[in-house]
Amino acid sequence: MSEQGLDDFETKLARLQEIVKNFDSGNLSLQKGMDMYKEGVECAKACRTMLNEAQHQLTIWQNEEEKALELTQVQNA
Amino acid sequence: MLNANLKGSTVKPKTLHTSATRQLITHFTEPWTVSQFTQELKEHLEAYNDVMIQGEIAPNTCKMASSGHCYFNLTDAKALLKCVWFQGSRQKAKSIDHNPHTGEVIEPYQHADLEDLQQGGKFICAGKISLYEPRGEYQLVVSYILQAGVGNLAAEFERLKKELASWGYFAKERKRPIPKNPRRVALITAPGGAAICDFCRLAASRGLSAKIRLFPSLVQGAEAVPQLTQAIAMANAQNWAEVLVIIRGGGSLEDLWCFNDKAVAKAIYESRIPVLAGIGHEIDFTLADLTADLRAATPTEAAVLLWSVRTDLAAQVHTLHMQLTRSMQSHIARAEHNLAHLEKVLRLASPARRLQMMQERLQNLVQQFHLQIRNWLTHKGAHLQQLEHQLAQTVTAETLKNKAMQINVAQDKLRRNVKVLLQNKLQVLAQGVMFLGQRMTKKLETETNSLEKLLALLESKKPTALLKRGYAIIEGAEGKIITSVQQASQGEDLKIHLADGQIAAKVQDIMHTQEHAQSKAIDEKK
Repeated sequence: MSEQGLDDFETKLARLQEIVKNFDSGNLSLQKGMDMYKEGVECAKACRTMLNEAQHQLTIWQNEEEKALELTQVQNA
Repeated sequence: MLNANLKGSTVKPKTLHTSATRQLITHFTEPWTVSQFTQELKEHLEAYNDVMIQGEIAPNTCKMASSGHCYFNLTDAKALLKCVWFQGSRQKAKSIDHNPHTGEVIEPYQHADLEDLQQGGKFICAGKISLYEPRGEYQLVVSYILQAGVGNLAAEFERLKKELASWGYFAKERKRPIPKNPRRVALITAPGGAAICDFCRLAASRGLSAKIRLFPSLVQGAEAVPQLTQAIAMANAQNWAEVLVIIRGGGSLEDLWCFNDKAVAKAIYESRIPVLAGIGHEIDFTLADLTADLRAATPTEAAVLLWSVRTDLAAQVHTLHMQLTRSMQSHIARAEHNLAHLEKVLRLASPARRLQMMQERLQNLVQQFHLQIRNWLTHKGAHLQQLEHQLAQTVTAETLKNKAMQINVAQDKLRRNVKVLLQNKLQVLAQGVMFLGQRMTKKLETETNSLEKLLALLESKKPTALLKRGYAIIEGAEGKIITSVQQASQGEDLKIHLADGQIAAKVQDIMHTQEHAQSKAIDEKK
């Protein structure tokens, strides 16, 4: 996942929290509520996808350059 | 404090064999059986039942049996001593807080554990010699193990700690928060160490995707210090990472000593990037740990402190999703409730409903009417029954007979009265008729007289009567009555009516009266 993706997760999670809070306030029209529910479900879905696809990337800085590194390489180093 | 040189604390066996005894064994004429000889040796060797022996353990040479016992070799330049550390002894080892022979205090950090042994190094093993007859091997049965040379290093550590503290390296005020769920992590450790494996293994299930950039460095020995400071400097120079993580697996105080170096502590102190240090185990505190913004007890805990468990994040998303669904359901339920309420109000206000209500009201009124009528009838019926009952009680045959007699008397009386009344009325009628007859007769006479007078008057007015008095009526040729000379013409035949007949005549001349002639002259002039 890109760094933008992580931002997206935090943004979408915050948006989801905000939507739930708005529902709790109870001042939404039916149509507005439907729209926000749809948006909230999409946020949750996007967050789940990002969590499912989350994977750390390990690199090593050597000789003034960055190289990809697998954990097995680390163990065998 | 326990001194690094522990030779003085080594305890010799209490019962040493004399040279005479050795000679006896050596010059024994009959051969020993193996068992006899081994038994003999066992008695001698196991007299060393409380000794402290210093030596080195090579890294990764400790063997753990399934029973939980640990086997390793303690060596020096010329010899090797097999050792066994039974599980029971190992568990009790750290409760020993002083040397039973010297009385010196043993600090917790001086005790070595299995991981220390695996790391290798110099150790002091306390225990007793045992000979295992089936294999003819003797070994040291260890009760506890201390890290050799710790005493001096510990003192040095305390001195450095005070010094760095006086410089403000450990001040709480300068501790910066470590970012939660960082996306860019600079990691400083040995690529081949267990620490990075533990760290990455735990990190794999935590947080979202992050980039971990390893700055490789030795973490033990004299070369470790410059490499560590260089790695810290490099990470800061790049200014890429959100957090700088320094980790190392457990080890002896000597092993971890590079992290107590002032240069390393200074580099951490001066780092612009917040530093998280996870060096050694829970009981290991280094000056690098104390200087860092946050200390993790182990490398794995460093990963824990950095990232949330991914399943917790998923659970958070799930919980929010569930809350959202429940809120939406409530929202729709409220809307449905409102709609149902409005529909109900609308239905109540509709003409059909009003008609229905009026019909219901009418029906109720009709029902009430019927009910009241029934009640009234019931009431009257009851009253009637009561009256009938009373009547049945009061009206008997005798009373009926009396009543009948009363009726008969009344009828007789009525007949008599009617007869008298009728006679009186007839009498009055007869008088009236007679009076009326008299009046009528008188009236008739009066009227007859008046009629006769009128007839006489009428008779007197008849033309024939005038004719009798000498008047005549002249009738023209055409039957018209001549009343003026102008109606007559010269030579016309006339009929003159007299009282007793007619005379036929002819007009010979017409003569007008003087007044008539004058008026006729005036008309002609006009």
